[in-house]
Amino acid sequence: MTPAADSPDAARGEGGSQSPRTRALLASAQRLHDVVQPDTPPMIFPLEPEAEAT
Amino acid sequence: MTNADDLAHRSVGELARLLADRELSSVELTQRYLARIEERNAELCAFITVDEGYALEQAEAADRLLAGAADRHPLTGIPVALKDTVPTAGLRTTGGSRVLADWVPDADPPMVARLRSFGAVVIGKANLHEFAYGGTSENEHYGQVRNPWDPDRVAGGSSGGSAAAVAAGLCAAAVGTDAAGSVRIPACQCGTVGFKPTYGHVNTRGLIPLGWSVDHVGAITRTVADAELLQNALSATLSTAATSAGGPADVAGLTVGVPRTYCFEGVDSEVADLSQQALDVLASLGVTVRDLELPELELAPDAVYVILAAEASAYHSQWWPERAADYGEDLRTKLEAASCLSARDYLQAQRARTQIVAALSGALREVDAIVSPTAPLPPQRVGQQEISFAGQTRPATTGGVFIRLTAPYNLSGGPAISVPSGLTSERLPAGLQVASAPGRDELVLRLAAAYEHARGGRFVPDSDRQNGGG
Repeated sequence: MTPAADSPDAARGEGGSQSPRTRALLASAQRLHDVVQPDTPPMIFPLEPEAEAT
Repeated sequence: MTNADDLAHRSVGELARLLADRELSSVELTQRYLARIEERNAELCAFITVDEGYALEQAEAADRLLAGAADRHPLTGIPVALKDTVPTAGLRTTGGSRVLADWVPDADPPMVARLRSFGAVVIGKANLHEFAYGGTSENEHYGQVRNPWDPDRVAGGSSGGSAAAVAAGLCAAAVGTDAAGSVRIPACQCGTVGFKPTYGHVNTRGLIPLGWSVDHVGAITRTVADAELLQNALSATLSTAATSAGGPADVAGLTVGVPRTYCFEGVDSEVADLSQQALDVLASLGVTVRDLELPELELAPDAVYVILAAEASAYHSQWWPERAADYGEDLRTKLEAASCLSARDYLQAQRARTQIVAALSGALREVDAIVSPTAPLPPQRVGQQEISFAGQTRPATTGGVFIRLTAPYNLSGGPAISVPSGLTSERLPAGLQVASAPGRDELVLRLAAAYEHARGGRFVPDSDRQNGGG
């Protein structure tokens, strides 16, 4: 299977040389790529971790 | 002195009363647990490192505190196990890997310093899935953690040693970490309580991370009250009083939602029945139970896998690939896979996370908490490579099955607790998860405590019941 030109797999070669885990992880990434809505920003570190408190 | 054989499965609260009343010393209690570790650890592999002198020195210091101060903390003199991703000054910390096989930290991270300030006794370092990156705790370097309910089964993971140690009566309580369910799943599968508080409530600075944006520190205990007690001690910001009112927690008037389509799809029929019985118990306490539809949760396993892979890959770049041979095969193949991810993949996963969290936030404006089974299946057999789920055969460790119900709350940062819901016909534990919006830790604890009280009983593995324990 040839990855679509705009897919995450496109930059990483054909799937045949990849391990099952690599293929599974890239498949996860592809599924997310397919469902993300255009106006959705990334969520990174949703809450501030406890700062200097001990 | 209290009969030592009766102590192993007491709650922290019960042990604290014995210590405060001088019916038991911390040294005696610690010695009892050390003896049990000596008896059981060869089979269970719950601990990687136990140093008797290190533990007893802390217990002696705790006994001096108990003899002096009038306002003792309930954790003073209580032996607690720490997952081996939690560094400890003067005690080897491996992360469950050969990469750190000889690391003895010079200093405690803030979280451990807090525990020690209350007089808790660090009894040992608990085994785990290598670097917390996996759900079975089948550790290629330090042995496979075995489930105390059935040693042919895994203990869950990645905090499997912590949960097995509590379940087997090898310590009074344990600390784990949870990036996709790693406190709640082993707690569920070993018949203990596992609580993951709101993201950021426990300082993770200085701990060995798996994924910074989803890592939480959590408590694994025998009771919900113990989980609250330990979690309050670990946190400088969290201070709840959900279980301290004296009687059963009042939950009448609350509403819980059940995302039935997602959360019961493919669930083992006995696990599903036990969860439904638990929901019926909550309803009998005056809780309104209503079904929800949250199709966005389907994205959660993929999102958390990509986020964890990218963040773990960044952390391990300090050793990888130069020391690839020091990693076990399971983790080596995961890091190889992670090295194929792009920045775009990571950001797409964090964008999907935004969609999942928006859906959860919307639902949690309509209901107080979301309830589901914790793990969809009973613990798998040690060495099992594939599992059957929802009519498909999937990889046992990376198939997205065991984390599908827990990972959404690592993405949202909301509090979530697993409390035992019963045993299957094969006498394997199942768990009920109660989760809510960030900051609603007290509500989650209160619902779990009310259910636990109404359910009654205590979950002690059959091996100890046959020996008169419990």
